[in-house]
Amino acid sequence: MISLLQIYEGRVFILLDTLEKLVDYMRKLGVDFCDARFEQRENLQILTTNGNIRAISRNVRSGVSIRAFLNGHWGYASSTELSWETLKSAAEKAVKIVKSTKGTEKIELNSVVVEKKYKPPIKINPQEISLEEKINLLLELDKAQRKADERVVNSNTRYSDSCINFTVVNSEGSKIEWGEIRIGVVAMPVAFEAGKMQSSYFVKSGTRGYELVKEIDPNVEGENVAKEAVELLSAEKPPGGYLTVIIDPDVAGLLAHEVMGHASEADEIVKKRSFLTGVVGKKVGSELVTMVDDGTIPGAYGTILFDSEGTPSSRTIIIENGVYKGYMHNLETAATMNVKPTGNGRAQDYNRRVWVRMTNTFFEKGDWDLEEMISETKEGLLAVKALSGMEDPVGGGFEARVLKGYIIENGEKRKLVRSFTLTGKALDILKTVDAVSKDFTLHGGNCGKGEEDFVPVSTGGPYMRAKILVGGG
Amino acid sequence: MLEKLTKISIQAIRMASKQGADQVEVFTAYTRTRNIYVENSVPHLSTNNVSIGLGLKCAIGKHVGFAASTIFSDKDVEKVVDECISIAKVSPEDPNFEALPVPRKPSGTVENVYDEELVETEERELLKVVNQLVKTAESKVNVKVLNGLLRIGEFTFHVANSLGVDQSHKGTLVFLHFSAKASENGRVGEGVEKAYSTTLKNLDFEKIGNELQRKTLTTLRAESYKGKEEMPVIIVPVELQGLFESTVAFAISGEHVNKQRSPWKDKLNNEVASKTLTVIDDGRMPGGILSALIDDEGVPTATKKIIENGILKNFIYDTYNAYIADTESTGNGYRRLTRTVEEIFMRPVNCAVSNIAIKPGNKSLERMISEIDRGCLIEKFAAPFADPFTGTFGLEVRSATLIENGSLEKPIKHALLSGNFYEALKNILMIGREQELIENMKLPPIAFEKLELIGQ
Repeated sequence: MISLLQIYEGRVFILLDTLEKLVDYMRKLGVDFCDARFEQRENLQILTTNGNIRAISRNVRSGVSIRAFLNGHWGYASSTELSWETLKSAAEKAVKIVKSTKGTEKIELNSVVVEKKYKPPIKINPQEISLEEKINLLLELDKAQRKADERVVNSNTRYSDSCINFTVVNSEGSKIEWGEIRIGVVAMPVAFEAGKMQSSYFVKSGTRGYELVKEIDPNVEGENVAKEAVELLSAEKPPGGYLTVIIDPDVAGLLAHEVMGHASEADEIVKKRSFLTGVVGKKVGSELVTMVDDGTIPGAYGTILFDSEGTPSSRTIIIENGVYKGYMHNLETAATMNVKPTGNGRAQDYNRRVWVRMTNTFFEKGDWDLEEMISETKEGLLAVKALSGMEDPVGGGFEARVLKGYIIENGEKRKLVRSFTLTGKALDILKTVDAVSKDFTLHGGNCGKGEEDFVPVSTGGPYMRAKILVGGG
Repeated sequence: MLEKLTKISIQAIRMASKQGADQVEVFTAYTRTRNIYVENSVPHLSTNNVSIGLGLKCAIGKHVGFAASTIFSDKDVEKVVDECISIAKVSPEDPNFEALPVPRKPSGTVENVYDEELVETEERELLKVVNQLVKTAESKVNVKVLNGLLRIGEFTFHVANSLGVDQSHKGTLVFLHFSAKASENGRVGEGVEKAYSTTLKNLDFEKIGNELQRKTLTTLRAESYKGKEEMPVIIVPVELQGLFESTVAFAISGEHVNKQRSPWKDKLNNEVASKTLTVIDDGRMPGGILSALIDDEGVPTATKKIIENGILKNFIYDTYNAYIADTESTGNGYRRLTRTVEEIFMRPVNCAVSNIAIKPGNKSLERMISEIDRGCLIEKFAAPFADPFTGTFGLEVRSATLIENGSLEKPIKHALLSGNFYEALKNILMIGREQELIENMKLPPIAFEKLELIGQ
């Protein structure tokens, strides 16, 4: 067995020249394009519940993904066994698979050639912080939830950090090594009274180091989120119907991501599956609507230095002042549509395929104050905190479940109402946007394409006022 | 492969015990996953993924740690053991941890969980069935299959602990997810078809293709729903599964009961559903996606009544939660998932349902429809989940058909179905006869008495 690994600062890396050898070998087997990507993924997760540790787990995964492109089709193979013999046979498998699909189309992939090594841009490496310090923070955050109110029957917290090292080599000449570090803290209390149960959540996450965690005051955040869950016990049933709704940055992010974002992924355009196929240059929203996907925002959860194909991430304007501008691309869709790749070709990990995926997707801010937006709303609803959403690239339908809302009457925020669902056709909603706030926030999360293949992203925007169908309380 | 996995397990238990662990549990697994992705009517991308790895749990007194890794060499095993021990050493005591499972010998058999032929099936055979499905679905001129996935998974796992558990299992899995689009005069419709199995043999690709075509053409004809009314609603198995998973599977989990966050925590032996509803958790369902003689802790699986004629009869437990509740594990400690076998060793054990079976009624779907004066048959939600704590839901309806005087009439979309699933279970109108396997649940269609449909 040839040793392909080197030990560097205590971690195992596969040698760059091994990947080069694999790519050379595949090229000789007769493919149009090929690449090899090594990933080492280290993840720490700590869970607490009701003041006790529920689980502490550390995972380390290493694998190589090998891709062969021939006549417009792809063959992939991956392995966690990293001997030269196994990787060579995986490369042969990838080529054999692609040859068996009998593609006929000639597509020339144009990758952005990069030869460089990058370290993740963080201040404090979370791996250098003791486990004890992380545990203590969580136990404080857990305790603060139950201390806040005796109706909190269950307190939960989660800490996670992930450090990923990538090496990508491709047949165009790219040789890149880079790291990605993500960190996140979550609190989720459950409150119970007189047969009613409600919960809420607090999340802080980003592509930052442990400095992000140091900004959290566990007592304040634990108490605030617990009070929010308790308050919801007495919340009323939300109204239903076609209403004027002010959506908060969290819910605006869902609208940007789920409907307009997924439908702007160019693989959906190439297949003509997206309702946004062929709309470049057309008006799709009011003039107050500008929407962007930007993988370069420092510290945001969806930020990446490169995508899984080794293309540098970038800023893509999707809608500008209501006019639709363009799509996000990977290598294949960019070649098919004769444009530059935008750095949106992402895979969940070395076991999964590359799709066109978002990074940080959001609406740009406007010039309203939230107070002004509320005071100028005669009757309506303020929708606060997103719970879930689902894409609909074919139909352009929007669905978002939100945690809570406030009824607005005569320009004043009044009664608290419990969870409800917002729905409607995205373009109908965007055309009715008549106020956009100065406040702007991004929230981290994991996005699936269809129902799987999760990648870290962030979504967000300002407060936005529009007409939306409300139901499901 | 089992020999290799067993060797890693023994090595890890020895090393961890030597380093001071009082109790050690090791789960090793080999997995191979093959995917064929269809795009624009043709197989566009195929994959072959192989992994071997280890998940390790160590307890020093009541200090517990978990570490996992892909395994390439002996060094990786050493690293996982070191990591797991160091976590256990700094972890505060978990007062709820008592012990790992004690050995219990599984008796009986489990059927249709491993298909040797499937493992041997070559790519070209898989491409053939995929092409057959696409061709059938596209036999009407305006239907195009834009996305599709055929996934074949195979796995072998070995689970052992320092108390003497020493079990293994091998299985196969097929997951299929196809969507098609139809266009006509500026209108569009999308249909989705999924299938779950442990073998290719019982999947009828022509039938799946025909269903995909029918669903696609139904949504093409669908109009946006206008208005707001309460009506009886029939939900088909593929959408019902998510509703059961997010509510019933949550409420019966011993972990949620112990944490006081199950809405059914005080409802044992009380009525939680209509008398017509009987739900079984069956770790040995023939052909069940998660079926095995043992769960992922090596505890023998069993068949348990969860709801019998509307009465809540049992909760489910893994070993950790069983000790808290002062009962025995019901064989419900799982790491495996229902759509993929990839790297199952990475996850710690979770208290979860095995396979759920809902007792069918005696009416066909046609008969159920014929007995409704005005109602709705729902075939597709955006995402079919309810709030686990409260049961409330507001689901975007992507494809449904209104029922008038016992017949299917107008297809609709762009509506919200709203209600509370825990309440809806108490108001079941009819349960259908034909069950379908969706993920790890075998369900018939169910008609609920009154749910609210809202349109723009």
